[in-house]
Amino acid sequence: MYLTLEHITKKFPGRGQEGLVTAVDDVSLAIGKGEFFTLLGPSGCGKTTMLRLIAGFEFPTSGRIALDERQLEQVPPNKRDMAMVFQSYAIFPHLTVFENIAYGLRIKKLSQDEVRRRVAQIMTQTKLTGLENRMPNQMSGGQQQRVSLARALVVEPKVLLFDEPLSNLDAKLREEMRFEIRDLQRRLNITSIYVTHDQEEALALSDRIAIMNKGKLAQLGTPEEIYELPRSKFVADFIGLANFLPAQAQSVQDGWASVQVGAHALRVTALPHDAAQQSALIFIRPGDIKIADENAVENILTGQIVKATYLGEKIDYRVQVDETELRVQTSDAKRRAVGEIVRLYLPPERARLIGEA
Amino acid sequence: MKLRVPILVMALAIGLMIFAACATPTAAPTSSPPTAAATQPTAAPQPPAAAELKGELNMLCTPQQEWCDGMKKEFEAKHPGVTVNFVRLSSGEGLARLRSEKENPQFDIWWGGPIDSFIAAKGDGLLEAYQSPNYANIINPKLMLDPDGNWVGIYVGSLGFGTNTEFLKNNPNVQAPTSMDDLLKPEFKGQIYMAHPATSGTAYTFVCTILQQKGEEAGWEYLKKFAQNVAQFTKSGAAPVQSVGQGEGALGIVFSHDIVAGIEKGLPLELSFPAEGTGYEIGGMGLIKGAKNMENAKAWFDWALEPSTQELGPKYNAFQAPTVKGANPSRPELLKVKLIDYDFEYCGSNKKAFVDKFTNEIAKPPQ
Amino acid sequence: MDNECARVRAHTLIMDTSLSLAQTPTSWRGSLVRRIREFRLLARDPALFVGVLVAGAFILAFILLPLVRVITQGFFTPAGEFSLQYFARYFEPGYARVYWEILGWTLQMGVLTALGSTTLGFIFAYTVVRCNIPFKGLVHALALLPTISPPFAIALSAILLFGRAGLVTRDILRMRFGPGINDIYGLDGIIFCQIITFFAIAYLILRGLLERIDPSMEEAALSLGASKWRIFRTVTLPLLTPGIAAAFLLMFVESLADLGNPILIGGNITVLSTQIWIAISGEHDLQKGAALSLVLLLPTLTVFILQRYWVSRRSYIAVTGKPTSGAATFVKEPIVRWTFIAFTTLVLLLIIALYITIFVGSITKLWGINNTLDLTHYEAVFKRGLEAILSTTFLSALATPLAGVAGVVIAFLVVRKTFSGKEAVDFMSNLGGAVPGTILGIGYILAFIRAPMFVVAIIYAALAFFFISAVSPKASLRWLVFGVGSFLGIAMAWLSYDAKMRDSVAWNYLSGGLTWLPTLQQTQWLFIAAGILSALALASLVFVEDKAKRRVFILLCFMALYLLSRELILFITDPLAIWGRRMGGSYLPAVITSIAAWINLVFQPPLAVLGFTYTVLGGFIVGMWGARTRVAAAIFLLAVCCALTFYGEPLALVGSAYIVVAAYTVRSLPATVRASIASLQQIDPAIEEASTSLGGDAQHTFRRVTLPLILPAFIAGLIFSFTRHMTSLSAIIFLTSPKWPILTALILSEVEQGGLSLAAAYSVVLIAIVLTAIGLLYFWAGRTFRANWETTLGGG
Repeated sequence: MYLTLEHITKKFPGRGQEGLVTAVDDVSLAIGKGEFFTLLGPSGCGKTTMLRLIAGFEFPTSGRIALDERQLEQVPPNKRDMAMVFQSYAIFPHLTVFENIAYGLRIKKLSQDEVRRRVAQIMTQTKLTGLENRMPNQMSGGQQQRVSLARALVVEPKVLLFDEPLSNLDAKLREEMRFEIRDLQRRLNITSIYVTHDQEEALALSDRIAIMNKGKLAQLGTPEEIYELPRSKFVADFIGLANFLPAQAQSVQDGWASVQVGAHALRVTALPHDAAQQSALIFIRPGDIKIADENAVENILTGQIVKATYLGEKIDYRVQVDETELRVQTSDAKRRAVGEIVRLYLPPERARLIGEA
Repeated sequence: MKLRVPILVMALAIGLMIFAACATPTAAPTSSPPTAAATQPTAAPQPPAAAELKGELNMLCTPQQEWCDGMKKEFEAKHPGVTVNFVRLSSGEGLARLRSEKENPQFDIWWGGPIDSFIAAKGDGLLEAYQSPNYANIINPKLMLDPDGNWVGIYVGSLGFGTNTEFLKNNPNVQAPTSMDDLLKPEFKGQIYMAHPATSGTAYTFVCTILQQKGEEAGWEYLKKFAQNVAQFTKSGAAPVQSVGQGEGALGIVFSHDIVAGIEKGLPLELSFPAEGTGYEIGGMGLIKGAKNMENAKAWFDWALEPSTQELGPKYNAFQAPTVKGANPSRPELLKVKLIDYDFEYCGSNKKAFVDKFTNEIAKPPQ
Repeated sequence: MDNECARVRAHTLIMDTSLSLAQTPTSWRGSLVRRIREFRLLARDPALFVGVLVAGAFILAFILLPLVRVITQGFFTPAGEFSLQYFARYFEPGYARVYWEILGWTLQMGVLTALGSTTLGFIFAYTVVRCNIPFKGLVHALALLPTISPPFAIALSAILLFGRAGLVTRDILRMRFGPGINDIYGLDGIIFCQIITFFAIAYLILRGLLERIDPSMEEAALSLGASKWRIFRTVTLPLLTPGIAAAFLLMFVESLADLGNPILIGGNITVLSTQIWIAISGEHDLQKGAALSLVLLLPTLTVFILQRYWVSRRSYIAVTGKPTSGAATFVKEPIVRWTFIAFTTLVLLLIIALYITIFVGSITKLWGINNTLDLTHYEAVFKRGLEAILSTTFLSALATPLAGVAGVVIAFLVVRKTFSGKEAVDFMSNLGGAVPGTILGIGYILAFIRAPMFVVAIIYAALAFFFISAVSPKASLRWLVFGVGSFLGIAMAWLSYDAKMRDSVAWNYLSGGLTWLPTLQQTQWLFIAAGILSALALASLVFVEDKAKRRVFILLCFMALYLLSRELILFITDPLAIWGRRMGGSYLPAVITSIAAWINLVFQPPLAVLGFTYTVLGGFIVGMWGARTRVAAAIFLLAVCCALTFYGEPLALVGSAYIVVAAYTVRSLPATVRASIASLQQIDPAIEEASTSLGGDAQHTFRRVTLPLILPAFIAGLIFSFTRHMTSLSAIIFLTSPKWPILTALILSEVEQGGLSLAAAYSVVLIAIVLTAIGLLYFWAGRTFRANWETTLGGG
């Protein structure tokens, strides 16, 4: 692999009497060349620390980092051949757009002509042409982010690091920039590591996603794997919408499990590693639950609608099933009233047994 | 080739080094740390004539700034190769400074200030003995020359009273004092300015004069009462001239030549002396032991004992009487008053004890 | 006028919160390992490593050492015996009354001055911010005038106006000062002068706070139905309390430390600072001075620590931020408003009168006696004081960039970096300016009258550690270079020692077998040292790889040449001085000889400082040297550096100009550090990280990104430093030397010698120089950096 991280642990001194706080806890990753890799997780999960460890702004308490066979733990950030795009853009406020972008090239002591050529080229690619002599404070947020991107791209780093680069933009611009970043990355084939807490962004951009929780790696996989087959309640909950239904597992066999939810017996999917447990959770996404008609009998739960919200393309119902409130989203044209008793069909291939952790 | 510039630099450096190496023996820079100074210049072909002097002379100067500065310029005009640097410090400060710098003296010569300080300095081993060819000029070698040649007198002045004439005009029943006891009169309460004997030789001369005139016991009693009338003990001896002249006080106890200088400047002062006799000072001069510019210091020393030099004073508002034959005093009348038989040895050797007593018992701030 | 300057001062005076808060105690053992690791990581970034080392060395030598010497000296007689005699005097019947009285007056003065100036400062701040006073800029400028004038200027004009023969007291009020009538001299006079002198600082602090109070808070209270007075009492005042406390404490310390006013106007009232001054300069009793200094240091230190760790944490308003947007609410009640405005105007008129008096006094023949116009005082100033004017200006200017650069470097380390002892660096850099100047001055005499060998050795060892870290990753090779190089160096330094120095025990121990070596003259010795450097330069042409060859060669040549230049320069400056003196006239000789002395000063830094510098440069050179001969080259290079460091009496600086420069730098360091910290904290660290991630090393990032961004604060810091240098008295009064007379000390002596008018003329000249310098710096900064100036705060 191109960039490997082995058993990385990072501890910071804590506040007061806490001693050391572990920000990253024994994480190993391997990232391929040209891959677009995303670190995803809620704030404080250690993803930004991971990125800064890779960049060299922090040094790991233990563990090894290597890029292209070269050990990096002892290498200062300016010698790592990486470039970073910051959440706050971190444009040099005292330099023009041109000088901002040319900054890294000048450090490499390229000739004036070469600098001009490469800056011009990247400015075209990032749609900044014409803004060469602007000062940063004369530009919009989107433009500033483009400058930040161009500045990082122009030095042709081995790895491009993104630290929540789009979180300061408004929703529409964010979506636009998302595609541009993905596009540029594909075109230039630069290995990229992208940190975000926005799952939609992660799903749209990434080749692979690593989900982190409390300093640990929760799950690693392609966007589809992460979305479709979350390994834990945490991952399932974090990516997309999820319902969790406490259940008694009866038996697990050949990828299927029989469970008991209150008075209802259900059949759900079970991954090979899911063992039969006395108490387990059933995971299912709101869009996968169907409101069944009277005569369906298999995999049916009954509940009462306690709330209905109109969302335009679909309707969001909250259905009380025993002690649990399930969320059901359906594009079914037929509207149902609050208080109505409904029968819910959980397709066995979409409902899945899942561990707590 | 890219290396051309550095090689040029190198060649220049080597050239300079060779040049410097050849030239140094005669260059004799004297401003550098200890080792350089001692082993200097006799290698020069000619005998060190006056005009050949070079480098610096660091002088501790105790008389008034204006005179110090004037003398510096006069000397530099005579020896253009020498830069004279001076700091004006009162005699107490000067002595203290020399003591603290004994290990690493910053001064080469001490010019001016009462000789009891020089006697004290000699006692501490701070002065360098020197036999100047000009000692022959001294009027009264018994009084004005240290037997070992550690110091020599360069001027004489008597202690006097300076009274503000405006004050006399506004208080018609008050006369300028003509005896030491007049100073205790109630009309002068809070009106007398004198320096503090800890810092000023002038003030110490007054204190020691009283102690000699009245005896120690009665003398201290007198000083206690006297202190009740003092408005302020200044740092520098001549300062009361300014304060009284400006009208901040009515009466200053100062050397008479300083009062004359004030009158010359236009300050409204009247000079008077105690009829029973007044104290006087001999201003001294001495070389500092371990001086880094000894040759220049000796040149100054000899020069200061020439009659023409001692006549320069009035040019800079200094009216002290000279100590060498052939120099005419600018104000002979200042020494024509009754002078006590001032015992410099007694005052010099008791200085620390007397000043301490004064500081702790007399100069207690009035309530 | 000098808005920036003012703001810096305000920033610097309130100890800022975020820094001390960021410091958290961690478990001891765990952190030790981490710190060693961090130190090693630090070594990986040479520029940063050097920065920490140099800052540490500077603080150790010029702040810590002098203070420790003052504290210990109070307990030892000159003969070195332990003695409590001066502390005991507080309980000895013969002395106790006077000693306690002085202490009592001192505290009385401190408290009353602090109360008065804080109140006045508050009134000014409130008037300017809330009362919509017309000509706000002018009011501001006038209030700041006392901060740029010499420390006794107010006392001087107070005597001229309110003395026994003062214009107001005698000529207008026709007062007669018979026995028992209270005059300006004494405690009341000191307090009056101190209040006028210091209130501007309180004003700046409180103004800064008032401006930053969000008006919406008061509006909220108003909407809840509170009356204006109630709002002031329950909202505004509590918000200001930390600032008022800070101002009060600061005024207290400034008052205690003040020397100029008590000397001039104290009459027969002695306070601690003057008692110390008389002990040192009158009695020259260093033990007494040091013992009393400790008595003075205790309240000062208490206040400093209180301020830093207690008051600042109670601050509700961020002081370093920008003023909140929106205009402040103005007081609408005309009675309140006009009372404040009237009072402020009266005080301003008083200040104007005081300064006009100084000016008029300086052009009057004899104040109060012969009031004709007369310019002879200025003639006397330029005749007798020209050298002092020139040398003071030069030394102040020389120390200004030093203080500026040191301030920025320390601030950068403190804000952006993690390393062991960071809190200590921050604390100590502030301490040097916070303790009374007299104490620092005494400490300098004590510390640098002889060579402080121990400290020199520590600094050398630390720098040599950096040097050898470039030699090889192998520890054995490193220590070989260190051992052999240092030994050769000491042997070489030994050649410079005279018999007295060689007799000292420690040296015999260190270099037992070397007594046979001859003592060399300085010139010869320097030629040897320069010769070795030149030989290394030639060798570098062969043994250094092509890429770095040019740089190493030029650097080594430069080092050799600069070493020699301290001798060679005399071939230029000596004739220059002689030629100048031959010019005749009143002014030219002084100017030309001063210029000659300045040139000498630049080319003749203390050899120990040169040794330190060369050790650092040597570290970089060795890093570039070819691997095969690296160890040999390192040994020779380190030997030269070590020899330079220990040549003669290293850092025996008393009497030289460098000690004055060091004292100046230390005195203004807190201001530049605080200003830089404040402005660094406003810069997003990501901007610097962006530069790093694009390949810039620490030094490049600092130069190209950080520095341009903090430049406005930096310039303001420079202005403040220069002003403080020019006007400082207490710290340098013991450090003046014949060759480098200092203007403030000269003025003090001229007050007694040449009269008030002459002193006034000197003061006017000093103020003029400061104003000119401020103007020039602004002009220069405005022209060079205008583009940056405007974008700095907006971007990021």
